[in-house]
Amino acid sequence: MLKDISFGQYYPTGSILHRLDPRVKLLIMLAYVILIFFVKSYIGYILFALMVISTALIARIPLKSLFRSVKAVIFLVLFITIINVFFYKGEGEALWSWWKLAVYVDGLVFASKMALRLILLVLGPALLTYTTTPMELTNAIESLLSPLKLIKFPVHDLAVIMSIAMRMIPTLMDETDRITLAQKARGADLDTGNIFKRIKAMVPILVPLFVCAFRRADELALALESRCYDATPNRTTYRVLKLKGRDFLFLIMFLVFMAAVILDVALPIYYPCDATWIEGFYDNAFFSLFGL
Amino acid sequence: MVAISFKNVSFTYDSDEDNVVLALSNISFDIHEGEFVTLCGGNGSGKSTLSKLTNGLLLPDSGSVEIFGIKTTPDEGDKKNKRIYDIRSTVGLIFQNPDNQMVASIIEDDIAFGPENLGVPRDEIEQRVTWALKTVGMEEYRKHTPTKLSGGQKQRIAIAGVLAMKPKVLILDESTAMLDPEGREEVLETVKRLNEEEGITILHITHNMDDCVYGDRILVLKQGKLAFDGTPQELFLNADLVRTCDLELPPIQNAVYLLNQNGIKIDDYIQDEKELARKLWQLKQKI
Repeated sequence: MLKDISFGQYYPTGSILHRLDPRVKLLIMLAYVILIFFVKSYIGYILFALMVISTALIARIPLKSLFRSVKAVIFLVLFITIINVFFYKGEGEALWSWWKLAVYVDGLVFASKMALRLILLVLGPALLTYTTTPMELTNAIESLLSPLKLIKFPVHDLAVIMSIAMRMIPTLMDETDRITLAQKARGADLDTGNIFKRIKAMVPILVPLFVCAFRRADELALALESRCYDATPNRTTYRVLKLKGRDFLFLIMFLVFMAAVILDVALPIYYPCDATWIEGFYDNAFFSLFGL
Repeated sequence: MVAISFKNVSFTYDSDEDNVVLALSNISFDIHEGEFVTLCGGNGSGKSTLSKLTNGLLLPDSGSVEIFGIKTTPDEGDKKNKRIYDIRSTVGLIFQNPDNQMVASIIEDDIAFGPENLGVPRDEIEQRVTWALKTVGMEEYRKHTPTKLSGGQKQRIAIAGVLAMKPKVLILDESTAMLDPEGREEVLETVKRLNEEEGITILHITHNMDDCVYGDRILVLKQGKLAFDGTPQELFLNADLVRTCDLELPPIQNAVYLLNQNGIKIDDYIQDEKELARKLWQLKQKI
């Protein structure tokens, strides 16, 4: 039942993107997510879409699998789009109206942009998890946070915690499966009744699961101690991350992309355009902020 | 050289004063370097307590535990034993459930965990990982995740993880209890090879008397006391003792025991079915 939910969605193709330093990928992704909130023009969204698609092509990930990740948020996207289409109070004449609902041109533009932003927001991090194993991400986070060691922040402990959590997910999934079957064999009814009944039916699964998890934690703690955890502050690491030529290449490519996006966001401020046909393109963040 | 030395060791789990559980009382024995010792005992005989005393996870209430001459208890005036990590890297402990001993999702990362903690340089960690995996015969799984492996394979990975710390003693605390017969044999053959080829001292803790044939010396614990110390042959000839220790004789030894009970006297040590058949044939010839 739970077996087919694999943790993460790593899609191994061995492309250059897969071999990229995970820290570079993580940083690029952070910048990507922040940047997307400043984009307000269609040109900006096209730039983002082009970047996602070209990256997926370089990573040799089929676009079909990539778009599967949107499926998880499709209802959210639809919900937000519909709300915005019908409730957005635009200027000028409404295209269609009934009772309190009205459709304006501005509303359509706004809703479509909202949908694009949400979809792009999901696609970017999906690309990261498609090309990077959870283990690599842990290493990247540990490495990026390592300056915090100066203020005595337990970076390494955090990394070990993350690593153990990921290691235990499949094990606990198996356990949940076993407990579910055992309770079913004793006549537990898990699949019928309303939502509250079903939630209540989960209790006989969760209780033994927690008991088992604590027992495991106990033994794991002993195993960690036996393997000299915390023996020396001068701990070494087996996996050493090192920036290579390709990492710089991708960083530069992303910086160029970033420059293009920033230009797109900033240009209309310095060269406000009067042409009405272009307005749709250039109603960017700053304009809407000041209500211009 | 004496690898593990217990001198008059007693240990109690005192959760509160009215409920004192005496786990071990006045235990003394020496295990020499290179020995393969099996420690048997029924439920609640103090086996697991003993294993945790050997690497300082628990400290004795009285008496002393020494590992290659280093005491597990801290020196007078010290709160923590300064050499505890020397002891823990010398005595590798393998637990019952291999799933609860692995920390990383990739096997090589898991094996590197011990040496990383000890601050071993990176190049040497790499060598140790390769060596440890080769020693347990799992080289081709280096980049795999442990979830897809069989119980025996997982337990061999757990052994490799401990081996990477270059221990001189390996303690298996019921490490074969959860495995199927095949997995058990796999693990015990690996351990036997480590004992013979690498000279690693083995203390195998088990309640399964079938496992005793792998060792050359047996210790039996009975309710926290040392009830027997000798060779497997000597123990099996003393079948009554085995039975009073909540242990079960291996099938062949049990058959010999029952035959003896029923008037067919067999005094020699019988190792396997063939030997028993031969012995019975000889007896029949005499009649």
